Amino acid sequence: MEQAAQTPTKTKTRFQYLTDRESFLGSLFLLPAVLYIILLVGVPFGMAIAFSLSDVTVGDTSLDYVGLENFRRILNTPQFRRALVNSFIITLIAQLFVIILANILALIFYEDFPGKWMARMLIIMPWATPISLGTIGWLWIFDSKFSPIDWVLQQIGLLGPDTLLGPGKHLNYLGREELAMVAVIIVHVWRMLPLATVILLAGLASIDKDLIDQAQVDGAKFWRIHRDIRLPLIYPIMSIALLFGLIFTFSDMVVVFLLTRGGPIYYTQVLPTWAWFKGIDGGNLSEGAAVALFLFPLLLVAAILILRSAKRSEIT
Amino acid sequence: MDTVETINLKKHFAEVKAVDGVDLAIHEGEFFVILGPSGCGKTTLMRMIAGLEAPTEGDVVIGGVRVTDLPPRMREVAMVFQSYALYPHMTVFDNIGFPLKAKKMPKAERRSKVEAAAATLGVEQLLDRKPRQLSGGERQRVALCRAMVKEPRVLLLDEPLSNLDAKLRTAARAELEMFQRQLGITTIFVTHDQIEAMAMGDRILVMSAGKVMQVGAPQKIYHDPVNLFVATFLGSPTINLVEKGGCLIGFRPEHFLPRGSAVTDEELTTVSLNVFHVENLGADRLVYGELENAYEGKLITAKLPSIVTEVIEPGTTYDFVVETSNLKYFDKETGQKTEAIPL
Repeated sequence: MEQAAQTPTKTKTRFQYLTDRESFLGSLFLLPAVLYIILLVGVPFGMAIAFSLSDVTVGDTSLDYVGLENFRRILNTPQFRRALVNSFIITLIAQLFVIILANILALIFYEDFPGKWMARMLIIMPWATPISLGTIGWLWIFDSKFSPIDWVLQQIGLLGPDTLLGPGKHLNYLGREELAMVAVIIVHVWRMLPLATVILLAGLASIDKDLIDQAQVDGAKFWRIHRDIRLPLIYPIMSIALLFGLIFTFSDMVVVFLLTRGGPIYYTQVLPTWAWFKGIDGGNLSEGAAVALFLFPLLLVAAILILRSAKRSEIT
Repeated sequence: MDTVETINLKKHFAEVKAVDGVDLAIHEGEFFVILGPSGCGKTTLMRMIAGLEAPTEGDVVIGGVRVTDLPPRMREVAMVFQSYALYPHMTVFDNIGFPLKAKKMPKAERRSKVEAAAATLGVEQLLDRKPRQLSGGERQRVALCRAMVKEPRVLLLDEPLSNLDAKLRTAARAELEMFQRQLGITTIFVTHDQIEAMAMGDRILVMSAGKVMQVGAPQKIYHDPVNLFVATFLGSPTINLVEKGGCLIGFRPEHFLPRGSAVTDEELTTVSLNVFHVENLGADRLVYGELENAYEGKLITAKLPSIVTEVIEPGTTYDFVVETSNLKYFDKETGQKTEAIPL
């Protein structure tokens, strides 16, 4: 009787405490994340490298090794070079404005004023809106005939015959090289500003109020407090905002794809759109993969640099 | 002329009257302590003097000039916060030099001033460190250094000792007091700790619920409290209260001794105390006993110094005495001090 009662207890013990073992549980809980990274990041990344070194196209899917031929060829095209330069120009200028404007907005929203919550909610809207819908909205704003900006400029006498911006009645934003670039940058700023503002707002809120009071008693005025106290203290979190902004903007294809489709001609192409037009639209998978791979080292370096500088200035 | 004056100063946050009509006159070079329980408005009062809080009503005058509408930087005040508020990203040198940098003082002059201030408080070997590498006591000194370096007219200290551990606090208290006497700078010190207030203050302001209860020298406030609040707030163990008619009679535990050990020519009042419990703390013995008309039925405490060697056993009744001149009388309804009544 006693023997029979003991045996099941013993077998039970072996598995009963399995969930208490950290080595087992740890691996179990990590497994989905590892699978996710392998299947959805690692495999496509490996395939992109393989494609970029081969002559694969939509029509001929056999992988024949061609070395760096694809890279040599795309580097020689003006479209690619333009896309590369545009990617940098759009990303850097947009992020410059995002950081400046986010600082201003965060300082404003940090103060108490009537309607603050409403205003805060509105500022978040661009981030909560799907980027494609937002861009379509901007497409209407920049419309060649019905642009509300043109209408306002006409009403205040800046656009039309015999005016500063005339004589045409429309600026045709997306049809002109510089204006199209400006339009793309504006949409990117509009898109990234909410996130950066909220991150900076969190940074400002984390500063001990005593420090600001102390600086005031110490005789500092607004700008000195901002430059010498607030900015250095929110620098780590600001570099996180910048990192997100740089990576999101650099790797984004929706804005250019919906707003200008890279036009006029190819003047507003960026790396992601050019990779798509080349590889998917044009069917040249190997060259498309080579274009897309240009994003990788740049994003990697940006990420390492900013994370490192954030760590260096970490304040505890 | 008084260095700091407040005239009917009020600060109301919606319904809460944090500071409710405070009139003050703090003399040149004085160590002035604002004492009160937490939430009594003492920090708000100090923040209004510093200019960090705008008064709802009333005025602040510093050095004879009305500064009510001036920002903190125009007031010639320096402040040390309870948290010390050292700028975490700056070295000790830059922390101390910050008020001078804000004044746009040239670098060479700034350096010599910072070094001189650091030497006065003995922190010169810490100048290259960051605040997080400092101990509590060092942080306090650096904060004090930063306050002194701009040579303010008034030094405001908001509970600067409460973040230190008990042993360090006593040492820092003496050090701070000596430092203040040496410089002769007008100092306002906010605290909830009556021992700090008694030990350091030239004068003490006792505050409760936004109002001034009493202002005076520590001994005056301790021995001649104007009302029940002041009498019970100061002193540990707290003052004994006995009810008689519409009057409360108070006497401090250290004035309450067994009859045999009272050697004095003064008139004595005798009561018999039914001893309930005795605590021997080494330096003192605390005797708790019952008295039939004790206020709110609380135990009566006697604090016997160790030189009183009489045997006191719980459960026994002894005759205790108090000098009649040490009895304090308060109106039971208003809590205000009243005339002595016949016992």
